[in-house]
Parts: sequence; C-alpha cells; structure tokens
Amino acid sequence: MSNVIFTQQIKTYLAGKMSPRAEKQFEADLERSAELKKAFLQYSIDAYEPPTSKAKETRQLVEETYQAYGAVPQPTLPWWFHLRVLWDSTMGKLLLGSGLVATALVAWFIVAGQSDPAPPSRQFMSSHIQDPFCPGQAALPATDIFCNGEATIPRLEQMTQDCPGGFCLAEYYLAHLYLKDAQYQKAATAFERCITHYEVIGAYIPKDLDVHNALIFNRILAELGEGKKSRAEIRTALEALLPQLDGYRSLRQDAQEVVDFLDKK
Amino acid sequence: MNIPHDSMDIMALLRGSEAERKEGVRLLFELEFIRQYAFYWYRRYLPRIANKYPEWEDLYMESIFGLINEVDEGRGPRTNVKGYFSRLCQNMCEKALRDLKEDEAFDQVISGLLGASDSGYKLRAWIENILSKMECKCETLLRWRYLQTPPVKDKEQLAALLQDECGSKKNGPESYSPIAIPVHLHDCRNKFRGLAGTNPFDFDDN
Repeated sequence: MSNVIFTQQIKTYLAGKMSPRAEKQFEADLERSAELKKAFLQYSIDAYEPPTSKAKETRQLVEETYQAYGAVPQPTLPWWFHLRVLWDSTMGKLLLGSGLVATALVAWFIVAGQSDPAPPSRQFMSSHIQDPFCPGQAALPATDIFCNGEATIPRLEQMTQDCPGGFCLAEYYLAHLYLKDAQYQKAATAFERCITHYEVIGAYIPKDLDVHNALIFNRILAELGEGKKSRAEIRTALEALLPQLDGYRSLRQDAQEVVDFLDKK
Repeated sequence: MNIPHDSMDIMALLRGSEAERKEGVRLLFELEFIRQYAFYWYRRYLPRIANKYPEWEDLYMESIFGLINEVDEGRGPRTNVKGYFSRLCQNMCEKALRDLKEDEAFDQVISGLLGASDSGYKLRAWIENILSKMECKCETLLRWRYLQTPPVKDKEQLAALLQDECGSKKNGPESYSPIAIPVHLHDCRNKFRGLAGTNPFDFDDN
C-alpha cells in the first residue's frame, strides 16, 4: 500500500471519522504492519506544527496575566448547564428522561383533573327548567302572549323596550325563553334582573308559589350552561339553595338531580 | 462584577497596540461567561479529556489563548462573542480527544518500531540523539517512557523518576505530580516532533 493511502487512513483515524469496525481493523493493522507504523511516525512528525513566535509571545502574555490575576473563582453555572452536563451521561439521560415522563404525566393528570367535563346536554337543561307562572286568567299582555303559546323571543324583546320603571313582566317570560333556546348568557342576565326586581313579579303571583327560588334555580342552570363559573361554584350555589326548597318537592328534586349530575361528571 | 467594556470592545483591544492587547487579555480574565463556558465544556468532556486538562483552569487558560490566537490570525468573533467562545471551547475539547488518541497511537508506533529488528537500533539511536537536545524534563520522561526495557508506563513511577532527576533538589524549582504526567508527556511529545522535523529519520537507509 502506498504512503498516500496510509496517510489518508491515518488522517481519517485521528479525525475520528472511521467506523468502529474500520477503527479496530486500522489498529490491528498498525500493530502488525511495520510500513504503517513508519508512515504513522512520519505523519505524526510532519503534521506537527511548532508554535510560531507570535503564539509563544501570546502564551507567555496569557500565562503572566493568569499568574497576576491569582486564583480564578470556579464559576456558578446556570441550572440548564447542569442539565446539559447530566444529559451527557447514560445515567443522566435515564434520570432526566424518566423525570420528564413523570412531569408530563403529572401535568396531564393535573390538566385533566382541572378541565371541566363536557357541558350538560340541551335535553338535560330543558328537562330541569322551572316553567314560569301562568295565571288562570291573563292579566297583562306579556302573560297573555306567553301563556297562550304565542310568545317569541323577538316579540318579547320588543315588549321590553318600553317598560315603565325599568322592568316589566315581559322580561320574566323572556328569561325563560332564552333559557329554553340555550341562550345561556342572556338568560343568566335576564334571571338576575328578575331576582333583583322580584317585587314587580311577586305582585302578580300567589304567595304560596316559590317563584323566587325557581328564578334562582333557573339562573344557576343558565350559569351552568354558560360555562363561565366552575362546577364547584355551581355546586356551592345549589347546595345553598337546597335547604330552602324543603316545601317544594318538584323543584327540590330537580335541584338534587343537577347536583347529582355535577357529582357524577 | 463591573466590566468596563463589553466583549466586542475587548476583541477590538486585542487587535490594537501592545498596551491595548495587554489590557484586552486582562479584561478577558474578568469575563464571567468565559469562565462559565470553559467550566461547562470541561465538565461535559470529563473524564475523557482529564489526561490533557487535569483541571478546568487548564482548559480555561488554553481557551483564552486559543481565542487570542483566532483574533491574531484574522478570525475571531465578529458579532457573537459568547457563541464563538462556546464553539471554540467545544472544538478545543474535541481537539484534546484527537490529541490523546494521537498520543496513544504514537506510543504504540514508537514502541512497535523500537522492537522491530529491521529499524529498531537505528530508531533508538535517532531518538537518543533528539533526546540529548531536550530539557531535563522531556529527556527523562521520554527516555523512561520509550527507551527503557521494559518501558515505564505508570504515572506514579514516572513522576517519582522526574522528581528524582529534574525536581527541586537537582535541576530546577519544579515538582511533579502523577496527575500532570500525561500533560507533560503530551508537551514533550510535541517538542520531540518539533525537533524530529528538523532531524528527519530515514527509514529506508538500512
């Protein structure tokens, strides 16, 4: 084999560019072949570049400065440097890898635990809405329209435009229509207004009916559908309401079913 | 620590007059990130480079020297000194690995050739001739390492021999520790190669 090929092999070997198998073969050849040994020695001598005078001066300057500087404090590495150093070892890779997997799992459990489950179905909501009160004999236009099944959202909205004193019964019926139509945000606001102006509604409703609590329950349903409040908040509101519903079986049952629904999910 | 210049200013100082250059070198030792990167890469390449750089400060100093050399040769960082220095440190560690591999192969080659009957005696005489021109440390170290039968490979033993022949009591103020033997050997091999280049060995002249 010519020296040129030997030299090429030696360069590749020293640059670490040989495959592990070729490297072993080369080392075996180096052990065996006197020719290759000579080529290696020659290459080693030829390839050596003695430092230039400028480099010698620089080294001297660096060494002098270093001596003058005194003891160099060991630097404090930021945490990610330590991770990179650790990552380089097999054990470190195992440790960090399992740590990452564990962190990902914990994060997944936390996120999965915190995220709210799917909202209740429209059917579930419809079956729990407390219907508004309809008197045997209509007293006001809004009651008349709603209780005869002629009410639509636009029509009631139109009626609420000119309410004397800022609130009228049309809003009471409108809130229920919003809730049935799954317009939960509007429903929640409308029920809130109904609760605030309950004295207006109460003037038309028999005292033995618990319309006030029915309004509160409907507002809670609207908030559940709206999804802005957490399940825990909704549950707390329902729990606060439940003791007040002792005399009203149907309403209490509906409220309890919603609590059960929240617990189940 | 308050650095009076940013790192690009220091690069400009290194390219300047002798006094500016001195100031530049001094300021390089003040930069925390230089220490951090040298320490970081040293830790990453440990223990593979410990035979060339026994302590992190060895790589630190060598990398500063390397950076100045880069600037002297018209290269050096243009915008990102940190990135450049980090890459330089990594390259120095890679080079250290190559050097160590070369040293190992060189050892094997010398030992093999010295044992070969065709060129062994002639090679021995050639090495003796070069060693006689070297300082006490290298002459002693290389003689015991290569020409002794059997060759001394143990670092403790080599350190004791060095201490005995060239240590503070006889030829100089130095003291030698086993941990530094690979570094001394590397240095001496390089010096040997430098001298060998001016006194070539003719393998074919038997």
